Amino acid sequence: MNRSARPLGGLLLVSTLVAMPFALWSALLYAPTEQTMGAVQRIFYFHVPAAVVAYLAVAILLGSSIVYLYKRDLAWDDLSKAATEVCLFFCTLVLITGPIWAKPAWGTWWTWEARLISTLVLEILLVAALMVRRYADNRDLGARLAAILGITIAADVYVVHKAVEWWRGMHPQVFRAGEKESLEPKMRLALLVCMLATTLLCMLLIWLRYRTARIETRTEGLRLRDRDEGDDR
Amino acid sequence: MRRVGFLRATWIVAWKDLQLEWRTFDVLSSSVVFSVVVLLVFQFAMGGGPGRQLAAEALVPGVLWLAIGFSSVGGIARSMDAERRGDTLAGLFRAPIDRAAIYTGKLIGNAVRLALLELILVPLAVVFFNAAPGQAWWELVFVLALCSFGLCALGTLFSAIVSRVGRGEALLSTLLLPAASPLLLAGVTMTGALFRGETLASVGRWLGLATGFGLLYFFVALATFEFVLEE
Amino acid sequence: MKNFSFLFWAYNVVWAGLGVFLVATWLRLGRAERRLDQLEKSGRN
Repeated sequence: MNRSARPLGGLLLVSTLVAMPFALWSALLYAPTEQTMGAVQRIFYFHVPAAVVAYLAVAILLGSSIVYLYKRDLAWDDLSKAATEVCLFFCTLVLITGPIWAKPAWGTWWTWEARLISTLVLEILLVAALMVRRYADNRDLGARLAAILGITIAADVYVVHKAVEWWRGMHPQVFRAGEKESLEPKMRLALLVCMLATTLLCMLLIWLRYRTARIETRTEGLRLRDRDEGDDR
Repeated sequence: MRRVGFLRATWIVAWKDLQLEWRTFDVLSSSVVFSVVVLLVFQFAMGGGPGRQLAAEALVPGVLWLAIGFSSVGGIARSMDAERRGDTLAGLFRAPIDRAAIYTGKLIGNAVRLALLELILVPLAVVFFNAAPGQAWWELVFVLALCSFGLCALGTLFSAIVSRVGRGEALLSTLLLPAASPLLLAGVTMTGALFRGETLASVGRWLGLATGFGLLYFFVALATFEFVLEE
Repeated sequence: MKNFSFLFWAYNVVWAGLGVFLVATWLRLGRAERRLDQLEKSGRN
């Protein structure tokens, strides 16, 4: 997987480095200031992409978990680990930027709405999954358990989201409805640019974390191999 | 050798624990996570739903399902823990039986235990809160059975996962309660409807959710239980 | 428009710093991978 992907990875690195200043420009300078909420609204340009990207990472986690259980190649577990950690990172960003924005926008730090609850549930489950990995006695066991959890978590968060949506019933979706309508073309473009930059960043982070995990796994493999060979002699 | 003074000894022990906590963030992280989970679950149960005022009747379903939720975690955990202590899980695994049978067997055990718990809990709730589901007792039993099944289906799988891992006990509640929250929500909503005298049909989609959820995790567990038990 | 210019440049400085870190990490990972390739190959004989 490594050698042929190297130039592609380099491209990813460079495009992420270049894209972020554009994103910053579009969010801070290009986009017009929103009338009702003012400057704070600009967090939106990173909050929303972060949320989208977190769910993208969950999808990757789901895929690599399934493949690992099927193939038992530790490289897939390394990908799962990378996806889990990066997802946790973006999830935390969402949960921090959200309330910062919500307070001036809705007058409250938090509300028990479908998206917020499912993001919080996702965060908790991801932390638990990492703990399971860490506390397992051996690598293969941890990988297997984490894979099963990965699949369960991915499906579960979707169900939680739906369930809370139903539970909150006719409660006006305070947020979504407001934005989608009043999204001026300039704002839409800014959001798109930020979405692209954040997605690139997510891919880069997963790639870096994956490579790091691969190195750890391969090193451990070498250590075991040398130890075993030492025993044979 | 000089005896170490009381204060000094105290300080040494405390400092050791603080250092350990600082380096691993073990206890703090699991307590924080658990407290957040508790808040989350309380909100599901007590949130009152759309536009509803928090009246006494509204409390009953919430309290009931909170009690069921938390005690089920404890019960399921203890059942798996017994296996771990006696290392009997490995024995079960080596027996020439279908892995799925181990899962289903444990599931039934947990379900029966939970059913007994609810047999005591529900009448108590009715008495304490002076609230009743009118004529809809059978419907209530059905709702309890359905949601409890889902809870046990997911819980048995998670408890098996957690039992194979070092510091597992704290993990079970952290995993099970958020993941099973749709079931708790469904239970609370349906029980609430019954207690208010509405029909089960009016909350039909929750019925579907609870059934779907239970079946989904029952089959996921059947498919993956073998992997959990593998050496 | 308040100090958005200032914020913009400030964040870019932060990003430049992060960028240096990312590139450095990238290169170090590459070096580690190449070393691992050598080690794995030498052992396999």
